[in-house]
Amino acid sequence: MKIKTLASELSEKKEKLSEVFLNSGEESFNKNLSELYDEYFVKSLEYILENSTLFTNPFALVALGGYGRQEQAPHSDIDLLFLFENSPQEDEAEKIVRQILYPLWDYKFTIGYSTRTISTCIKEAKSDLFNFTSMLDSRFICGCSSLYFKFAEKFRAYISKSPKKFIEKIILQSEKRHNEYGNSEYLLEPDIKNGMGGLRDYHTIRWIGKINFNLNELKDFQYQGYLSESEYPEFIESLEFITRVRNHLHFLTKRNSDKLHFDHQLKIASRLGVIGKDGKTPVESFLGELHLRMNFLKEIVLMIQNEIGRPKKLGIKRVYKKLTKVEGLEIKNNLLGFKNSKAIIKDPSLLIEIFKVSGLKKVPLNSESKRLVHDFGYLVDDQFRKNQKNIRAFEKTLTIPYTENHPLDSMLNTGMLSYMISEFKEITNRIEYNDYHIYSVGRHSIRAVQSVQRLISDKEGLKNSDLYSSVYSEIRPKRVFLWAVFLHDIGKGQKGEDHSISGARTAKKILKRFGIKKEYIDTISFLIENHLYLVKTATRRDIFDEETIIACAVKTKTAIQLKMLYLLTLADSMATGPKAWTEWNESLVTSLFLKTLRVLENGSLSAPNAIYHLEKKAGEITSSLKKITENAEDIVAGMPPTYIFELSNSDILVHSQLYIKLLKSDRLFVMEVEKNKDSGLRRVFFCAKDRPGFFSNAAGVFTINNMDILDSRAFGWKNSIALSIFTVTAPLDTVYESEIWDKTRQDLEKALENEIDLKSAVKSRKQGFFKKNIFNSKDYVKIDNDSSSFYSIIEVHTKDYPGLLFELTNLLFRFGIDIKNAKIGTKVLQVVDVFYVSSIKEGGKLSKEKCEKLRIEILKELSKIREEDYEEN
Amino acid sequence: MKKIEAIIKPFKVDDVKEALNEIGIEGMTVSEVKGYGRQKGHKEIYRGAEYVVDFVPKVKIEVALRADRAEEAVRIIREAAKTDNIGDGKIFVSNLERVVRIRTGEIDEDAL
Repeated sequence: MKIKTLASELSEKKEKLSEVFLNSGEESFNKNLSELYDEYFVKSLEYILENSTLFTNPFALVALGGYGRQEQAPHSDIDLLFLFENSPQEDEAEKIVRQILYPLWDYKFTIGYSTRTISTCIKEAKSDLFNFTSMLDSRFICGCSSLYFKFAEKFRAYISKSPKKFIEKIILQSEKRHNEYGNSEYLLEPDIKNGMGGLRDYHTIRWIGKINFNLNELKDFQYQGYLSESEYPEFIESLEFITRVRNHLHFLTKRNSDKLHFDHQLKIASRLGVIGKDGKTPVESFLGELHLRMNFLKEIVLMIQNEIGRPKKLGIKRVYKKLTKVEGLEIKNNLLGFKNSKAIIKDPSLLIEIFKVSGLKKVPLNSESKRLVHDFGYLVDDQFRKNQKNIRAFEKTLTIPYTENHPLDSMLNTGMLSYMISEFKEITNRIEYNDYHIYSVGRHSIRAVQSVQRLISDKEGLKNSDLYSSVYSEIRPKRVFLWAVFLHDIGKGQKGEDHSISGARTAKKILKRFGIKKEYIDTISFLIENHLYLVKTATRRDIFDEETIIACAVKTKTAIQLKMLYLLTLADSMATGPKAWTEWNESLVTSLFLKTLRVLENGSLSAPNAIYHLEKKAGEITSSLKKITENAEDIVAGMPPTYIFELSNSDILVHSQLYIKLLKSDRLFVMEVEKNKDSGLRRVFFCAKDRPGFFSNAAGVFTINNMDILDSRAFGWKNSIALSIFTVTAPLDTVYESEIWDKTRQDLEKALENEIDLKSAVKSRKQGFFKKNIFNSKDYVKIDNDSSSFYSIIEVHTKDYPGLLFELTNLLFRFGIDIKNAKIGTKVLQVVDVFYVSSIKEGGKLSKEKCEKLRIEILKELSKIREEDYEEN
Repeated sequence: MKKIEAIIKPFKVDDVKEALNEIGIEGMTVSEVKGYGRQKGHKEIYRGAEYVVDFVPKVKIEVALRADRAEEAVRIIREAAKTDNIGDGKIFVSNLERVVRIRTGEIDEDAL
């Protein structure tokens, strides 16, 4: 019964200790808790020994693992070893265990225990690395002390047989763990224990220290020269912070959990009493600090691993000792360093050069050189920044593919990036609290740069990597693009304003400081300001609507800017996290990119400065229109760019006036005839409510009124209005010309209402034509389904005759085809007609089968017309 | 009870959501999906190489509701999701056998 009381006391004491921790965040909680457990074991063993004489087999109670290190976490198992001198009899161990542990179980403590002799201990350590490391942390609690020290001695002897081998195993295991827990999911919701920079990393170097120099206390890392005087306190602070977070996590979840889920993050931030500042919410500040601490721990671990573990490991792989030609740098034990600090003072460029060399040679910096960069950072001034050699060295680091010791990461960790670009400090540890961004803004910027290399590498297994690398190969200059990727989120340092806009402004300031050409600065700031444009457009606009694509082309202006923006968009989302980088998003953005690129490279907008002229022209038309209507802006906004681009200002004004007239009337169309007395030609303008067949009917009406069509253009405005211009021969009788035009208008009205049979009327007009024109050439019809993203393009080459345009367009109408844009040209009886068409019923381009059927049908129609003509004559 | 599944263009999600909210339908499941119908994917050409988007990105909206509200909801979704361009999507309506609200255990119409 006595032991039961002890257990209940322990439970109460733990409760009190926990309360103190939760109220004041007391730092020695874990040590105090370990001591409470010690006290229980000491007292309960005393009690057992006092009340029994049965034990002839000496034994000791030994704390292992975290309990051994006196770092017991609130809900972690109590890791206990019952060490016996001789193999215990069957019920001997059982009896002791039962008396000591059962009361603890009753009070819901969780205990992991084993009963072993010294030789079974060594055997277990041999077979299992986990047992080995937990014994590395062993600590005597009570019982036969000489037995424990005999064990410690044997264990030490076992280690000293091949310490290097153990260290290698431990490092290998830690690398494996990093691979497993280092993926992005754990960055969003970090694992405090197993994640990168988690407590396990600290345990790892502690074990290495134990093996290598029999570490006794943490300060030994400093005494042994692994940590500098300034690093040691930061190391301890980081450990304490992470431990505190883990304690809270245990209390919060009431169990042994290490993963910091989203809802825990909010609660722990408030339990820690973190206050938000500089525009960050409390939880963002908290996560910022946690990332900083964990990253520091990770750096320390990598450093110590590199120093202690690396040479041997690489020795096995037989890597040649690499050399560097750069004066003032040297490679030793496969680590890069400065020859001495004087070299830096003599040539400050080494401060950036060392990162370039590290990246190109794939050799990490040694810890001493990282310290030196940190200490000599003050040498980076505006003169340093304007030095072309330094700029080039930095730009080189932007092209290094992702590796574990990437120079940009090292530059961030040593503070070099902030020395080069003071604005970078603002975003280095800025966390955005959502399930979307997995890195701090600073780290994300670096990942984005590295993602560019991942996109174009064929090793990543990305579906479209050949597209990406083809686009990348056409980007010039690459360094301009990479600056934009690197600085795209620099605006997140400021609060309030849209970060794209403030980022573009900040980037301008930074780049000026580096003395970058104005032309390049403009491109970079354009890219930064619009780095979300493609994603937004692809997901929020209809990319199957030509307007969207044209607007995108107008915005991005040139093919080269579009290509840069495209890769920036992909690199940005890839570096943001798995929720941003999905095939779903990628496929939308890529479609938008390819469609827009085609407009910029092949369409009428591909001419040099096309976009500039387009905007200028639209402005001119708007101001002319303002003199006659209030709705000038709306009317111009309704005109598609190709229309504005291809017609003259005066033609567009005629159309606009017709449009205003049409809106006021209830007619189906309005028309205007422009007379040119000298040439005997007439230009006829139409503005009509868009209906399939209008173009065809108009063509037919000209024919029956004895006017030949020499040229014509048709366009659709955005608000279902069809505009067209026909150039026709003047009517035969020019004296009563206005009467003829009145008749033409009435004929068209009747034709649209199906009141006259245009088909036979046209037929009678062309009779005898071919008889007179025996000179014949081959017909040629081509249907292009690839050049436009929205329309099938039909090209017809044939011999002209009266009514041809009517017959052709009528055939298209019968096929259920809508003509969006037509270009009719005649050269001495040879006709080239181009139609941009879409399917009326299904929308979009014609199917492949329909294209072929239509092609054959057009050819048939062309020869049929001729045959009929021959027969009848 | 009916279940409506609407496959729509991604950029129409907010329009459809708002339109449904306006007639009092507030619960829905939205997912990013890919597929093809008559639109049959499409291809783009870049430097002579074809980039085929065989499965077109779409959004699927799922709504469960009382049977007498299904007609109205279908109409509302159709109006909101229509662009008149190719690939506007489809709406599927099916019978729903059983609904259970996990937290309370309420069933069928009470759980909608």
